Amino acid sequence: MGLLDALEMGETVLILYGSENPPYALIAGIFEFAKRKNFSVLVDDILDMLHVYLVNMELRGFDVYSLKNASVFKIGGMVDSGNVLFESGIDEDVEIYMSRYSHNFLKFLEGQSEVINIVLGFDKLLAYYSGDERSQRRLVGGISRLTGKGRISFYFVNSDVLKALGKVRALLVDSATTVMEFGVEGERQRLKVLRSPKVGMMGRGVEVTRT
Amino acid sequence: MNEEAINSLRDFLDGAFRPGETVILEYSSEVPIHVVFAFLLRLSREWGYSVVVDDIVDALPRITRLLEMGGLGGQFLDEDGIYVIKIGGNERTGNVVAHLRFSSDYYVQRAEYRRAFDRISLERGFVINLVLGFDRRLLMTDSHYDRFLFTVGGAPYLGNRKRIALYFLNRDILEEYPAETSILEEIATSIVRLGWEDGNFVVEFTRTVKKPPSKILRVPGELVVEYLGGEGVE
Repeated sequence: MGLLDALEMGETVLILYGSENPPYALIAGIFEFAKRKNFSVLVDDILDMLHVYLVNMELRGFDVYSLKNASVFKIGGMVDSGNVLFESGIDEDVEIYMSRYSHNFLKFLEGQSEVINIVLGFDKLLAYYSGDERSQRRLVGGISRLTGKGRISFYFVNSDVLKALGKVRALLVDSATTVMEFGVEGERQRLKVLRSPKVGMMGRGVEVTRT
Repeated sequence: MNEEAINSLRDFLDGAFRPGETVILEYSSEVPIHVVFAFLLRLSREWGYSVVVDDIVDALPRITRLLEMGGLGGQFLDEDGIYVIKIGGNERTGNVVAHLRFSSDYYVQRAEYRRAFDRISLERGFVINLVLGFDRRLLMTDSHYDRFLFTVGGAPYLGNRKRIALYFLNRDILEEYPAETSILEEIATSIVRLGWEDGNFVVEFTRTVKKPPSKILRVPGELVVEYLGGEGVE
């Protein structure tokens, strides 16, 4: 997928999608991309969203072997999926588990050359803190601190959930280095670049097909 | 031509949803949802499945009352193989096997519900779980955190092959909670949206695993009522 090749190491990519058309094919595509480039994959499983995606993707006939065996950092939720290397509840103050998360994340990066980080459920975490703007800001701030490090992070965000988030929405979009939209055009699924550090990439789209 | 619509729907529903799925059935207020409920209940029984109805805050009695008033009778729940788990509410209808106190506390409610559901599951094996009133639960849960927990609370059950769960959600009630609605939709494995226009159910297969006959199917209300053995629409 040409659009993924154009991404620079250190980027924080925001992928917007709607509930009617979750990005199953894109997630599968990112795993293939990582395999091709020999990058490691780390999945942030927030509030059991990895489980949700695994079930949905398996039902739809996707090959979920890589996803099922991926390294996972688990935040909140009850169901273990993948190979959980780090786990944290969300009962404590955001600062506390965020610093634990960062510490472990950076340690993980140290042991790898280049990492693709797939983040599922970050929008749900922000929704959990709806009304608590301070915590929401802290969470989004945490993203900026990891931008530029040896990973490309894909934050999958449901646009309808994002819309309901109020002020922090703009902060989140602003924290991303690249913003993409995954949607449906007729019968086809498309990935489109809404914003990129590379001006020439803006507006470019590609069809996402299942292999 | 008309008959085709209901046959298309039945054909689609046969094997449309697999064990472990959570299906969302969204409808707007003008839809005669009691007919839909009776239809799905009748089909499930026809196909030999046991059914567990989650009756949240008297949603089920509301439906049976509409069925009676609509000339469709209240006998739907009287069969063997249909179990009702009541959560809150006062009016008991059908074979109520457990009546839980309505709790806004997610963990408390979940533990009690699990006990009740697992008991039935143990006895009957695979069940179709029709969930009524979940939209009202969200409305009645003031704490944002508890409401959120209930919203994501369905996620762990996904993949539980002992059941297929069908949530009946009134879109107009959920208008208040767009984020929760979107999250529920994303967690679900299938979404079907129902409208009502000129005497027809307008069924939109928004997201399903099995390919539908068409994206939108119009099914004459009268046909469904006829199928249910009702007195017909005036």
